[in-house]
Amino acid sequence: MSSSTQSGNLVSNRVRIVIATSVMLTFISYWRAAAVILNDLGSSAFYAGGIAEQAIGKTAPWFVLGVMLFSFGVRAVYVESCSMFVRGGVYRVVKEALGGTLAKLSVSALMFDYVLTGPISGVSAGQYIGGLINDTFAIADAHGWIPRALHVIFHGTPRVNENGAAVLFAVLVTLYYWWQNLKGIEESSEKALRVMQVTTVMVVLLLLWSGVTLTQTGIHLPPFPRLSNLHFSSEALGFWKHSSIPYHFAVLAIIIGFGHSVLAMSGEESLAQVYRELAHPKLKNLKRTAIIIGLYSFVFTGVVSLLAVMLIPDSVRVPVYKDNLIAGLAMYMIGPQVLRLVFRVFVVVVGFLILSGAVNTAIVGSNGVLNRVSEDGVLPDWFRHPHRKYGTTHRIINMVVGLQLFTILASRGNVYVLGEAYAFGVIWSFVFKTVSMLVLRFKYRGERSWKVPPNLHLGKHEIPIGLASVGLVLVATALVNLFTKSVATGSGIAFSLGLFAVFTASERVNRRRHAHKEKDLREQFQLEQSDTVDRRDLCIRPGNVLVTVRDYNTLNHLKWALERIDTKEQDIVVMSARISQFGAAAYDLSTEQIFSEYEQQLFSRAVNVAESFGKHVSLLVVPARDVWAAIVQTANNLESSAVVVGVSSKMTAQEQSFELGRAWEAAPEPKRQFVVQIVHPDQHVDSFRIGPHTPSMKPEDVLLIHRLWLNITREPGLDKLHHHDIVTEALTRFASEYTGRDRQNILKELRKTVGKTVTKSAGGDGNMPAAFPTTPKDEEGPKNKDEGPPSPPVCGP
Amino acid sequence: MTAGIRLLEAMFVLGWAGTTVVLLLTAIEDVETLAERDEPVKS
Repeated sequence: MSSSTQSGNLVSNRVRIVIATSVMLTFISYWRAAAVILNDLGSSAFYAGGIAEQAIGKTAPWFVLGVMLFSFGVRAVYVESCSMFVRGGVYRVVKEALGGTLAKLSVSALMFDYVLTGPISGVSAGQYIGGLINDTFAIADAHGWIPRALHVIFHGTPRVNENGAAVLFAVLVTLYYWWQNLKGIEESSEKALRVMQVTTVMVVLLLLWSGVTLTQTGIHLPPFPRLSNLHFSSEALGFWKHSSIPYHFAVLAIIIGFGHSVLAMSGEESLAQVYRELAHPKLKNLKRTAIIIGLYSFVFTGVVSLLAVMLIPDSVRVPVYKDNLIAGLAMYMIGPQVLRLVFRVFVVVVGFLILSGAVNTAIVGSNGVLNRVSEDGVLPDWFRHPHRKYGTTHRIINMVVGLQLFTILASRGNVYVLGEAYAFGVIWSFVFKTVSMLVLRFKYRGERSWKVPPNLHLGKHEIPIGLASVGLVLVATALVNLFTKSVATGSGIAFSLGLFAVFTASERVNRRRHAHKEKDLREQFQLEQSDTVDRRDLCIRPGNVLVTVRDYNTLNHLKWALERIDTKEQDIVVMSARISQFGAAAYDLSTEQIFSEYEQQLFSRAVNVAESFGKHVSLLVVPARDVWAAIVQTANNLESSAVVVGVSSKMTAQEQSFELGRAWEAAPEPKRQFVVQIVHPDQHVDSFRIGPHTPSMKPEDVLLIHRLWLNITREPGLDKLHHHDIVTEALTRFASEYTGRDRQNILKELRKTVGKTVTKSAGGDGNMPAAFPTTPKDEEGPKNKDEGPPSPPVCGP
Repeated sequence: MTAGIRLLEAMFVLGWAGTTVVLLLTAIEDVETLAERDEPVKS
């Protein structure tokens, strides 16, 4: 450690720890961002059409299409808010525009939305599965495949109670994701992308097959949305159930229909949550994301709802398929029954994937929102207490999941009731958001990166016509919904006001307690907060060694590094990555969340180990989405020459280096190469170079180059040739042959040469990450037992 | 009651008229956005 740093440390006896407060982001493309949002937004296609038709009759698809069209306008509001605030969610925007009280109220409405997203998605998936089981039994029975004994047991064709099965399934899925969230296992954008790819295959097949079917059956559009065509169910009129008002006002009837279809555009808030994680150029990519999700959900939710009414006969559409409309659509295509049933199974599998994902999104989203609120000291500390082992905000997760389980059980598997209530949260969070954006147009008149068009300029004044128009539709619909959705109005207002009261009451108490706890923590460790990881914050020199730690029972690799490194020459940084979930980027983590009791214990042990060697280590905690990306980015930012890690209990050293290599390839430029040393419990070390580097050469290859050089330099005009010219020429020819016809022959020869050692870490086909064993002898283990991390400067940019 | 309902109806109709313009203008912009290419990042 440099003298300046040492003197700095003498000022205090406390151990200094640098804490990066912002999640170390892994930036994602707009395609991935769209996939993440569509996992939530697209899931409503599975139930929105059925719910709308139960409420307003056969004209429902026109309203769903209208809502999907209108959602482009809502999306524009979100794009403008994100162009103003990187974390442009409802809470931030409403707080800026309307103050803390209304911000808390808006978050309460949003929480109502999230608490219902999980149950409606889980129950809907259960309905699809239950419906499939029953229809399969019915078909099997028609063919005489059901044993007589089963007939006796079920008093006829075997059936499962669809609502009961839906409740059971929803409870199981919710519990599964509760456990995943408790452990802090992240949902990757990669997984979301895969789910959306499979969903797209289903949507394309559905559209094509429906198109072919329509050529046979003829096109019979549903009745257009006129007053005479609207047939409201008694539940659809709520407090106006016994009134004739809805039938006397044509536009009001349209608003009622629109209000019953509004849940089709739920999930827009995810746009604000992923914005911070979008890759450069952010705003342009946000617009692209908005276009993709807009078009996709218009086709998936809107057009598929329309096709369902056109193809499924009236006699069965609502009575049988109201809760699994797309499954019904699959059964009423033309073609053999077996093929339709197979397609229905595919629909159910896709529904299971996307709706289960939405259950998780609801838990992650509500956890994120409550964390964001807690940044302002609104939530009691008790809720924010990190899990002892996993470091997650387990009490928030438990509370949200508890509310969701209660909702599932209370709904008794009724998707319609859930959908009606869900719409309350959806519409009111949009209302708060849009009205706030409107207020901000007058409050902050400065230029924005983007504004919802059109805007009329009258002298110095600007009239936001577009923004106000979207706001007018939302406010009118939300107000009418208060009258027509009695369940939603009652439960929504009770929930929102209850949560609002909790927020308000806890705010004052929490602030005092929070300040006290922070003081306690600071007495043990000197916590230095920093937005990003920087070498200067840690007061360390380039070429340092980064040692990653996670489990305080396995610090052998730290001991190994401390044994070999002279800290007067080379600094050691001990780093712990605190894994944050997707969407965590939407809020800054509090010190307590990043540096929990677990980290205190971990660093206490690490410091004890370092003190036992009489050496100084710098300590760093980094919140991250992906641990490998975090290591690579940290090593890059700190200009580390080596990274020392312990071997994983779940992965081989090769696999660990592969993951690091992959993270290195994905890291943005400029990036530095480094050596990773993976220490086994018996002190055996596997070393790999991360990033491109000069390969180590076998003596016989060096000799061959030299012999070639001797021969070639005898040729006329080549007496000034260098050894590296031969290597360049050979490599150029090799690259040309590899990209040409000889690729397979070359690969065959290489396989012969290396035998079975063509491993993924060695990058066999050029698509693999740049992680390579440093030297052949590195893999032999005990031989390099005494070889410590490389001294600076091993590598440079 | 009737006045309140008429007001809501007017808000909805006016809102949709304006939103239609929003949709048209953003659609034109969306086509431009999709046609644009990213500038290569200088390393």
